[in-house]
Amino acid sequence: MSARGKGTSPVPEELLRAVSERVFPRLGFSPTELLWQRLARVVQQQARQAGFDALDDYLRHLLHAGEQELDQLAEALTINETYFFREPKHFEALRQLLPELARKGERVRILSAGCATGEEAYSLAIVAHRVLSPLAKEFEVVGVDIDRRALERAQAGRYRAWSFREQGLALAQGYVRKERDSWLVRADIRQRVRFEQMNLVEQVPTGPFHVVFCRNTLMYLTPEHRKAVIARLVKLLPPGGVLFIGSAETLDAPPPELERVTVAGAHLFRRREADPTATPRERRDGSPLRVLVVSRSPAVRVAIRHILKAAAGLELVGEARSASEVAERLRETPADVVLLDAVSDPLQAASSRENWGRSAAVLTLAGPASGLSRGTGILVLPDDRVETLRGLGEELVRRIRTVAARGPRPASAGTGPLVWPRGPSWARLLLIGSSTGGPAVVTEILRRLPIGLGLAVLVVQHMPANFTRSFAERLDRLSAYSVREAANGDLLQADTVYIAPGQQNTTVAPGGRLKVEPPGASDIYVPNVDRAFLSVARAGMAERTLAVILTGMGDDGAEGMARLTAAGAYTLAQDPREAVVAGMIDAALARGAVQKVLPADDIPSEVVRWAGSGRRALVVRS
Amino acid sequence: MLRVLIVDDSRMMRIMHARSLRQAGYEAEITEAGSGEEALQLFQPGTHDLVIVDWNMPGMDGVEFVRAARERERESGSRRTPFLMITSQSTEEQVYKAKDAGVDTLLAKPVTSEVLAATLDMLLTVRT
Repeated sequence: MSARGKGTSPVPEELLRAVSERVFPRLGFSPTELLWQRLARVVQQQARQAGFDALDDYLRHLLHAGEQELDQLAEALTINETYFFREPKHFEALRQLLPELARKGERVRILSAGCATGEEAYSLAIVAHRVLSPLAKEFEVVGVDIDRRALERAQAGRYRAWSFREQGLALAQGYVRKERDSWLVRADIRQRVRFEQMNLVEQVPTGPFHVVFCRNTLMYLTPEHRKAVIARLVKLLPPGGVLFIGSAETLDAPPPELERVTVAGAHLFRRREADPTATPRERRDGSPLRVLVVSRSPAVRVAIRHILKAAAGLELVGEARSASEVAERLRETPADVVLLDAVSDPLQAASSRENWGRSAAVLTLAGPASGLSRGTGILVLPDDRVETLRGLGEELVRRIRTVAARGPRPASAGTGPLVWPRGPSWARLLLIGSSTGGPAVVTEILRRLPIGLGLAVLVVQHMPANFTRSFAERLDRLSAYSVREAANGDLLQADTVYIAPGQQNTTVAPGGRLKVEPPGASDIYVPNVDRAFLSVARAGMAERTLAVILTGMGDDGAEGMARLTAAGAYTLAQDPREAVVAGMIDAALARGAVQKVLPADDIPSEVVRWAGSGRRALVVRS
Repeated sequence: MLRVLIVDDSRMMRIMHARSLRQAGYEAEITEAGSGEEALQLFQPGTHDLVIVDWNMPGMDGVEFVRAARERERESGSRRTPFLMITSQSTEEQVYKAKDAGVDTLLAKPVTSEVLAATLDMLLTVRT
């Protein structure tokens, strides 16, 4: 393999190979000749920019470089070759398919995966606008790419003539406006296109998407990564949804959910209407999930009835007193999920599912002494009171959806559900108080926290009412933790992040139960950091709490930090010099309520260290 | 000296993990496995102080390996070895799956060296 670029100094191959081994895995790229040459070229550019005279020195430097620098190099390696209406056939096919896709209701969602500088995303939006606005249908285009700088250009929506080569300008007519030597995409089109930085090898945005364009991206990936990315993209498609790949690309072995179709001379893939596994998985047509409840306790059945009634998208289709009735019930009325109460009747869990385990997904409610481990299909309640169950409404609904999405599976044969006894559901509490400039910092901290620290996290971020939900959803995608808006009555759980909902105050009651209430008249800041922090001190949990105060205006949190410190909590503050607004941090510092000041980058490792502290040392460092 | 088993199909990643251990100040006798199958042959209950394992590997993947290793631990009645999984799989369902298989701690990629060092400290000073 040669790594010599034309007209440039020779590149030391051994070193370059070592560097590539650090960089390529980040992208899931397979080391093709093309990519080698690209890497050779890119490192030469970067070496100059970084001020290295000798390429060797720069490569050696890269061998020890930090994550961030390697990520930058990876970004620079990505190929941003794109223009408006590239492969016009695809857009013509889309034009023909859109009316049918729009008929399925709500709005049409379109994904441009590997969108680079955005030309494809805007082309998609232009076609969608042409077809759908006369039909009075809404649409949204999401563009994702790993290259942050490319996305910045995409966001701007301003392009030079080269971006419209071939037929681009003709096809975009009416949607771009010439300003001197560049063209600007119309504001109403730009509003309908959203860009997100994302490495497709690691994640995809939240679906469903009726249309996915992933063109000329897959070809750079290794076969395993390609397979994984395709599998993820397929999951985003509702039945009938379509996937476009580059006309020079192939799906080595198309997943069974996809069928190959030709529209307007363009080859594409469509998700089959009926799932080939023929099991009732997610009901993507929008009809509610059907739930059958099995419980010996009338009180539990009533409680569940109320919870299901209050939840959108769930329907109670039947009730049974014992698991032995389930098979018959399911024959009469099919259900997507069987909710099995093993709290009031521990034998339920043990009863055989052989007869019906394949016809519905199962969620088992287990008591604290059941010995059952936590898992997707098992919800372990902290105690056996019906009140507890009532308080868990939102959690229950979420778990029903999760098992429904997974679909039915045969009961784990023979091995039994007992994995190993687990400790208390959460051992420690991490509190984060944050305001202006905080969401990005909170996101970075939570992204880096390992799972398995026995940690429950409560985030109080000053935010308007409608923003906390999407903040929680975004965090949920980005971090390994389960992230959700706190709901009144939620019990803190390990490996879970609770976001205090906007326009309300979230506090912690003894035992780790969350209270979500309307704010008091005197609360200037809502959700209120002080109230949350004070409640933890009052609940007697300070000694197992780490409280962090981040960037923000005002002085909310200072009082809470002071009380927590006095009660034995560990308290940290983001370094005020790097904070967007230092007000909240300075206020806490002025109260003497901060034990350590750290840059945000160092907070995750400090949290891990704290979570692991106070335990018996097993080994001594060498 | 610590005994650490590193399971990853990428040699580069194995080297990086070994380096991270050293950088965090641990002198370890490292056993490397390039696949789940190989790791299962090398894993003897009660003899390792830590297992670092990747999820995505051709053949037996990390989660399958952990599940099988835990099964063996149970059969032999030996102490629980801490399992650290480093992976890009981090949806709620995947996290549950890993934990149910017996993973103690899961780090989502990309992992910073500071967090990894602190996690190693935690796992190596804790006996659960």
